[in-house]
Amino acid sequence: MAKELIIKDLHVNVDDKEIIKGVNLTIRQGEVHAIMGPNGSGKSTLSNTIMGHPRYTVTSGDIIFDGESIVGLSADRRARRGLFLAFQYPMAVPGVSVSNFLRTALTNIRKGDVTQEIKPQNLDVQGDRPLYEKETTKAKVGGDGANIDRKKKEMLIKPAEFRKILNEKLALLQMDSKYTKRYLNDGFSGGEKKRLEVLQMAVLSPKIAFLDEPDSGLDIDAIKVVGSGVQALKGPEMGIVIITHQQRILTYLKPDFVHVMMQGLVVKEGGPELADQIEEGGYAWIREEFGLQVTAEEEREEVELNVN
Amino acid sequence: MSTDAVSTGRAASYRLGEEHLSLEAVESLSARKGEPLWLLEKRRQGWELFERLPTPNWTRGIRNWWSSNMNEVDFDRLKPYADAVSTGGAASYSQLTQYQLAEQHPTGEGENSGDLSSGKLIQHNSEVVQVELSEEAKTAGVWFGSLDQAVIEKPELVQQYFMTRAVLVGEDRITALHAALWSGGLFLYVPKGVVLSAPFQAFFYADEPGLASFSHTLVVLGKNSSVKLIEEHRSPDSPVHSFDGGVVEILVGEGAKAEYYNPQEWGNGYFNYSVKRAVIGRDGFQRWVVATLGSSSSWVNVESVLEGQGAQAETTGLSFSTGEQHFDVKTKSLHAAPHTSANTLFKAVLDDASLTGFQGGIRVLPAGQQTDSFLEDHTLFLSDASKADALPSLDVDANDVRCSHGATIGMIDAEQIFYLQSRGLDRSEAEKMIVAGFFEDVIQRVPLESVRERLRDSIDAKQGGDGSLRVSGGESLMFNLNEID
Repeated sequence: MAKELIIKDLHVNVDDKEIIKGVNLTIRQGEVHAIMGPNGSGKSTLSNTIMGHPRYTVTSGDIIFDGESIVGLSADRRARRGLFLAFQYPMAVPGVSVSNFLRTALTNIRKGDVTQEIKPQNLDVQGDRPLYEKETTKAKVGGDGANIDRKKKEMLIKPAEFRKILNEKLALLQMDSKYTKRYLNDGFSGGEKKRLEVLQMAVLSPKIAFLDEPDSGLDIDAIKVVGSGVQALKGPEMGIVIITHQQRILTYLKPDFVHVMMQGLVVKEGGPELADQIEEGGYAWIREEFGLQVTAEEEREEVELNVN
Repeated sequence: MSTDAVSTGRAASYRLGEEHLSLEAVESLSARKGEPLWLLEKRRQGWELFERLPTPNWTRGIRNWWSSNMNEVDFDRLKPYADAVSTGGAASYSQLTQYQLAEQHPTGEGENSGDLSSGKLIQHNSEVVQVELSEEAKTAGVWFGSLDQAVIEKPELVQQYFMTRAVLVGEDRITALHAALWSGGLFLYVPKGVVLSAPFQAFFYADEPGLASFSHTLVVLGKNSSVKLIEEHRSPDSPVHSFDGGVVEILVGEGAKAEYYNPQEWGNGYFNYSVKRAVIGRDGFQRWVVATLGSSSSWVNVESVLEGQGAQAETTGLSFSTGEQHFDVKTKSLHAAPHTSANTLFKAVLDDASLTGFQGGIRVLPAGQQTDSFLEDHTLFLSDASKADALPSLDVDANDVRCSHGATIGMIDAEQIFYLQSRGLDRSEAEKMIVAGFFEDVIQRVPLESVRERLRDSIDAKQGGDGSLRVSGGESLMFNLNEID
């Protein structure tokens, strides 16, 4: 049976300010969703919250994956249950090679989530939790990884097996193997970073993957490369959620469902035709339909779009 | 050649007859070694200065908030000498053997075919117990062995260069004590034009609690020669204060190239004070890679004297302090001739309640026109309780130079950790990976994969890689959490 990610009346605070104000969404393996909306509508907040970023606090509602609430879990435990987030701005980690990193990550993902051993160093620790959040639920930052000991390298996936998987995915995405020898996102161009996110997604083969603006900052050719890359990974085992404010990438990756977010709420839902309507008329008509005012942040974006 | 297992058959432990540091201990050490008079005089001079000079200290700020730990060394309780066979007995020797085995069967996955060596030397406590020299090096006329032996076999060279040019007897109190009580260490002489790509390896191991060891490394490179030397320092934890006061002198001849690598991993309980200095001749090149991981308290000075026109130096330092370790690192590039260049990079990671101080100096004398010197330091904190002090200094007396300095300092990036966690790595794995990556460019400069791999393992082990319980920032946060709830 297809696994489901159910987001139930989700409210999320960032630094004491409510950003998500009651979102409901259901995503199943095998489906492709697009979440569209202007800047500041809460799209990125939603994906970061689902992945368990410790800065985002769920004040009410729930996130249920495969029948279990994951709101209190650390990001690594969510990842090992099969969630993935392709970042809008992937972090560079100098000195860590892509292939080493991916091998460690895949080892962890394969291990899956296990019952935590009760050891002090495995306890979930809440890092920077401010005092005001008393009754809220927040992602933990601890977790319980595969605890790979450098001296016991055999715990890692065997190099030959890993290389085979990696080469397969590189071929699928038509990527050069030179990527994997470089340091993680270090000195990568915008387009290279986004492609590397897709490669990570391919290798880790998550059950539900969020892609946070995989098209931002890319030219038309690069959008095509990323869009068709994700399209190649599509399958019955993977649910895909593309977050974007442009319609272009959706020409390479047809969504089954389109959700429009504005000011922390999903205001409109529909099929692929909704993306086309937005391409035609922008977001103004939806705003009018719901009597929403343009926020300062949205206005900034409109100006930027006009410049383009 | 091999002078193997000198000590195994001998009675338990040879002593100097002196349990404490004293002039008598100095003289009986010299007598035991059958040294020439000039050397005995140098030792006496060292002792005399030791008694007169103040212990070096490094203080800063209001109420000296930063201070080196060397004042805590209780010289009265240290032993001046210990044989290779310690009170610990056979167990320690097997560890040495293990080291050699590890050498033959490196743990790394990759290519180790390059792990050939030009020579190997092992020192145990105050004695050199084993020396090997490759045929290639021997045929080329290289002399490599213990400095004690060099005093006998190469007296002119040793007398000419031993504490006369690079490091002087009266430099500071601990160096003076070193001059008085040095034992073991190595002498490496490379004739003109000899280029050896396989490195020399020296391993210093000590296991006598309360020992003050003073190994002396003297390297003399002839014109256009080139060598690499790796010196590793290791010991088990010591229940009482132990001390190492090593000196390294490298004389780089015209157009010669010296590369020196030093991972320092003394055990807890060790105080380490080390002076390493190279004097670099015309168009010569000196590379330093010094990693400070071990000891309770360490102060290492790494200096390059760019004496000849066109001389170059490259200094790379790494330190990772955990627990209550206190590390101080001082680097200096002294530009004394025109067209010299130097590049210094220091990287530190601090965890728990540890302290790391860095002083990086660029000094350009009036003669040092067209100097090109750069200094860079990066500090990464894993815990709020650790403290670092970075003090770059540029002192320039020439008017046509290019000198600059860059620094970064900060906590480990929470966004980086989240990024790695989102790929299934738990928090401690993510931290380990970030720290390993932070040091990787420094580690890449070490020429042997087996040594690189040991360094990576040691860095990993410092973060609880051996499964031992780690007292870190994470735990102190846990207490905060309990208070909130």
